[in-house]
Amino acid sequence: MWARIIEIFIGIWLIISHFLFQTSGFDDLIAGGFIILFASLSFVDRLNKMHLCHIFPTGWLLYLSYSYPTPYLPFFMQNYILSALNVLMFAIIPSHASDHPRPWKKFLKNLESRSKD
Amino acid sequence: MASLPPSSPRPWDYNPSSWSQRLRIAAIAMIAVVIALYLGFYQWRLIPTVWDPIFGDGTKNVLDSEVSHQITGWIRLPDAILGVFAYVSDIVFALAGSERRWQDRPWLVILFGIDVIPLGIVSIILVVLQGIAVKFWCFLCLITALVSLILIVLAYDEVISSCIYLIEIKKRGSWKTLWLAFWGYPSLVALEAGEATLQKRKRKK
Repeated sequence: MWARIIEIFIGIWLIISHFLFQTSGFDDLIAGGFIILFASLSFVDRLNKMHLCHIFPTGWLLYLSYSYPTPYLPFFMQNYILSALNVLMFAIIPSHASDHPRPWKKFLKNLESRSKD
Repeated sequence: MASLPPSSPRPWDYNPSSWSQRLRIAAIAMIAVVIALYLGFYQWRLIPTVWDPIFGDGTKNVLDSEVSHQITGWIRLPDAILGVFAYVSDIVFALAGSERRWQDRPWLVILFGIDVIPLGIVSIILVVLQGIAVKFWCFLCLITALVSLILIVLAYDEVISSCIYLIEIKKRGSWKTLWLAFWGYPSLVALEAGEATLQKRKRKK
């Protein structure tokens, strides 16, 4: 679950950066909140793929940054891009990534129980 | 057999998915992250100058060049910071997955391979082109290109093992089985293909 923990930290960073860069909108606060929410929900066993929903808040941040009129972005917008790209990268990593995938674990367990019978 | 034990797949006599192999890749990529971050800090003007023991102002000239500004305009970030992101992704994809990920998550190994090998080659070509297009050389950029080259050498073994495993599946099953196995879904065919990837190497001994 290390990827989810890092996503939560990036969400917290987005919220802190709202005050650090003194941005006028609330996009970073809202996106940060959703990132924390989706990453936290992924800890629930039945919702362990919720981290894939990060595509929505990060997509919004990327849209805001790349639709900005000038090519040279202010710091807070560059922060949007970097935070969004990092969250998207971590979102690719499955929960319990260091273990076998669940279908494999279930399959091997079934094979084992069948061979015992 | 409630889990797949870490084993050495063909054609290697070691496990390319072992933690020792992958931690080594992450540690080397970390060197490039630090260098690229340092160069990015200069492009953000968070530091006034940049160190270059060989080419003098070469690094500064490369980082302040028209080409660099043009790339910044396209990607909306300083190019060195994009480099930081690329090397961090190498670390993240190196650290994710089990010690048998060449079999249980081939998609992750292939993604890691795409991240390290073709993108690494592109970054090396771009750094070499600096000398031709910008007419200046950047010592630290050359170091990061060398790191990319080392990462390619260290990462290709795992990708090859995953490809051999996927080929073994295709020999035994349909495209659908291959597709499902690629995304980490098991089947008897996938299990057999994994064993075959190990067994043939054992037979050679």
